[in-house]
Amino acid sequence: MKKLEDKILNKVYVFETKKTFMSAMVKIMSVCMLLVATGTFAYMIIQTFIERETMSVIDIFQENMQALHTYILDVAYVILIETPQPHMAFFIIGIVALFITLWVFIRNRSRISNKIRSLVRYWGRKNKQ
Amino acid sequence: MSHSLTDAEIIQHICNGELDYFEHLTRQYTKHIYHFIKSRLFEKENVEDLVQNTFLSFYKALVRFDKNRPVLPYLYQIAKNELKMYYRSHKNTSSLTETASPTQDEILPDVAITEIPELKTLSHEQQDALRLMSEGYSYQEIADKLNHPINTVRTIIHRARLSISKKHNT
Repeated sequence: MKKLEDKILNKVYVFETKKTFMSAMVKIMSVCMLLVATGTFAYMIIQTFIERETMSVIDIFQENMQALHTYILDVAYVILIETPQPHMAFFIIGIVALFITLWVFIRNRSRISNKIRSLVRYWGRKNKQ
Repeated sequence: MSHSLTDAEIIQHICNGELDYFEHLTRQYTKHIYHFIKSRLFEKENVEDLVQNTFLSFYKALVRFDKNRPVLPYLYQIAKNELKMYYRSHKNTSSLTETASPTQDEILPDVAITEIPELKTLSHEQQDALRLMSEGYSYQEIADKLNHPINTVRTIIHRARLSISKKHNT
């Protein structure tokens, strides 16, 4: 019966190792893809701002604080108009998805670390035998 | 790891990622499940495989498992399902062949199929399938022409024949 119990545990650990590995790979890949995508969109947005010299409107804030109160809405409107809308939408979606993925990871971190510790312990024991 | 833990506590630990606790459950219930399956299986060499599958299925279902329920009846139920699946997969079956003779209901009058007036009442798909069949195409060729799997074509032709013979008899 001891042999059968070992076989059962082996089957469960093999299953869990594969599952954990696959899920880790999927998570790492998705975080990398999201980082690359959001980085690319951020770069494209900044490039557009530089081309259109959008940021020059902020220069008026440097003059005095009175101008800041007077023109802040106008400046915000100009920036909004000159922002490439689809790029901005994708950038925001990417950032939100990235935060959700990281939040899920942080929420489950104790479970994941316990699982990895168990798997390492089991396979270490198994290799010693 | 304390040995005085209840099943609910053990399952809670496993759900928290502490897989080592699964050993408690296997140690506690393997014997029960082994004897349960052994008493219901003729091929004794497969008992161990089924026991392993039972525990693996139980492990996969642990997240959904109600911790207040007793574990053993649930394991018995999984073992029963495993046995059912085992018997189903080992059941002798014979595949349908094109030479299989039609049933009495399907036998049509001895006229060309395209001349049967009831043909027009069928769907376009059924009409096409019957027409192609009357032209001598095999089921596989009809399946390729109609872009359907061969078993779907078999079903279409079978239903068309039934429908025609029903209408013909009334």
